[in-house]
Amino acid sequence: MNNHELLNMIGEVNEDYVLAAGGDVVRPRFRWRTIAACAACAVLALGVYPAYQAVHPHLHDYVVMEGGGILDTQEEEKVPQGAAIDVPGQGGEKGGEDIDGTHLGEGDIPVDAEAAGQYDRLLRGMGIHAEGTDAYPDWFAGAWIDHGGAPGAPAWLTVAIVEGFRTSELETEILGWTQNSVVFRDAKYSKNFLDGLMDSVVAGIDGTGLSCGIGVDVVENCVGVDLYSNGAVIPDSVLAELARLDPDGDAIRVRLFTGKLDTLTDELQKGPEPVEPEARSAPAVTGDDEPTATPVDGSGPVYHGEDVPADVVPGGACADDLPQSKEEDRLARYDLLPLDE
Amino acid sequence: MDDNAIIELYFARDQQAIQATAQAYGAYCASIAQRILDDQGAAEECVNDTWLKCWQSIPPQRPNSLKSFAGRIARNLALSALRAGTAQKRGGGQVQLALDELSEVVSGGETPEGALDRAAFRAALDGFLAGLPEGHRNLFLRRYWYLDSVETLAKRCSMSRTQVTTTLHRLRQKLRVHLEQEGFDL
Repeated sequence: MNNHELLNMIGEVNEDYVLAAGGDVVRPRFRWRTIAACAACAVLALGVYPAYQAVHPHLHDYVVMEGGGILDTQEEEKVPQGAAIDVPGQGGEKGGEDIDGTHLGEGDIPVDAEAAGQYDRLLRGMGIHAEGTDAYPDWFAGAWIDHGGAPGAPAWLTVAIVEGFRTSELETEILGWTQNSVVFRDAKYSKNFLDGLMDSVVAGIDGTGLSCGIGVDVVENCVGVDLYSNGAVIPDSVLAELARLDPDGDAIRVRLFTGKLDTLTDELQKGPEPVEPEARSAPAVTGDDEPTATPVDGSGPVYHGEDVPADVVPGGACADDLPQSKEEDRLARYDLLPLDE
Repeated sequence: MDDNAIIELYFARDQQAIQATAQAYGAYCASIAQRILDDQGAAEECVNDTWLKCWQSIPPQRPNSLKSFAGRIARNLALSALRAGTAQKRGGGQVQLALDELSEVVSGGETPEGALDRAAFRAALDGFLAGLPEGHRNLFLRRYWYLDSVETLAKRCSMSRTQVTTTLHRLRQKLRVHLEQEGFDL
């Protein structure tokens, strides 16, 4: 048999099959299984990460200031270290009197009258006549008087402008307001944004019982948050809330001061918190000198500060039983700055 | 007008039967002839011959489906025209490709006159087609009955060209095995 004969014979097959094959174009089958698999993958991709995030929230980075710093408990709000005071006249002077006639303490730097005048004219140029207004222009990221770190050195006004807003026309306008040369600097966040962020930070930390100092650092163009651990571990919830408020990680600068805060001397002390008999259990020494946690009734030995044995910690736990502290976990991730920075 | 009415016209020897057939299945037959001959003039000529052949065949034949009957005549006439050389150098590429592919199934030797039981062979082919899934059966017939190109089949069946080629190859292997099991000396 040859192929021509076979082709002819195929032409004589059941006409029902032929008519069926001559029907409409075959529509592609709807691939339910493929669609279902893709949908399942999409659900996994979209759902697993948020679920993981809910269980393991992202924590804001922070810098550990080992040994602590100074918290001024006489003021309601602590300006973070290194932050510039963005309102002239609030800074002090070293000895003598400031331009507003106030007496300057030791270590204070006098405000340059010309720079202060420039700042005042800048505020007026922006239409702001009272401190604390939130009606700053969107381009305004802050302004400060820079002394160059040397008392008595010439001071100049620096104006930070939000990226994207800086134009020669704006600079000319600002120079017209200040009537003198100023230094311009680019910044990412506007003053309005940082003020709003600071309010959010305050609301987020409020109620946690932490000692903290919060302020807008216009020089660093961020909100500075100084947390004083006071011998305790900073809750992850606080760091998670800060991370939520600052997803890019550069609008909030968090510094953690370790050690205990002495509110009488406004100084932070290193070392474990003394055990108060009335406040917590103390380890009782048995005949084998093994500490056990017992209620404090005045009959057992009570340790204070450096008197506590090396393997005993407040609360009755042995040092060997202590879980790895969060701070130690993060040592590799965060900078350790010297106490006397 | 339905098939029965048209067939009755044939039996009444009413020439309106041809017009009715052409009106109902002219495009269908033309597409078959066009695919085989790949020449519009030759295809029209083939379709006209199809109506004449229908006029000569009905009666005595009374087809169940006039569409299938006319389409089969158009196919056979187009293949005959192609072989006779009337459409030489004017296409017919799909026919040659189909013949090349079917060469895998048969040995290629001439079958002595009367040696092939055509009815048994047709039954074997029907049995082969009946055993195929509908999709594969349609694919086989679109390729070797309607002589569609592989590209056309790929679009029609929402398959890739490679899938079509592979599937047809496997169907030909199956056909060869089936016919051998049925006792045909290919």
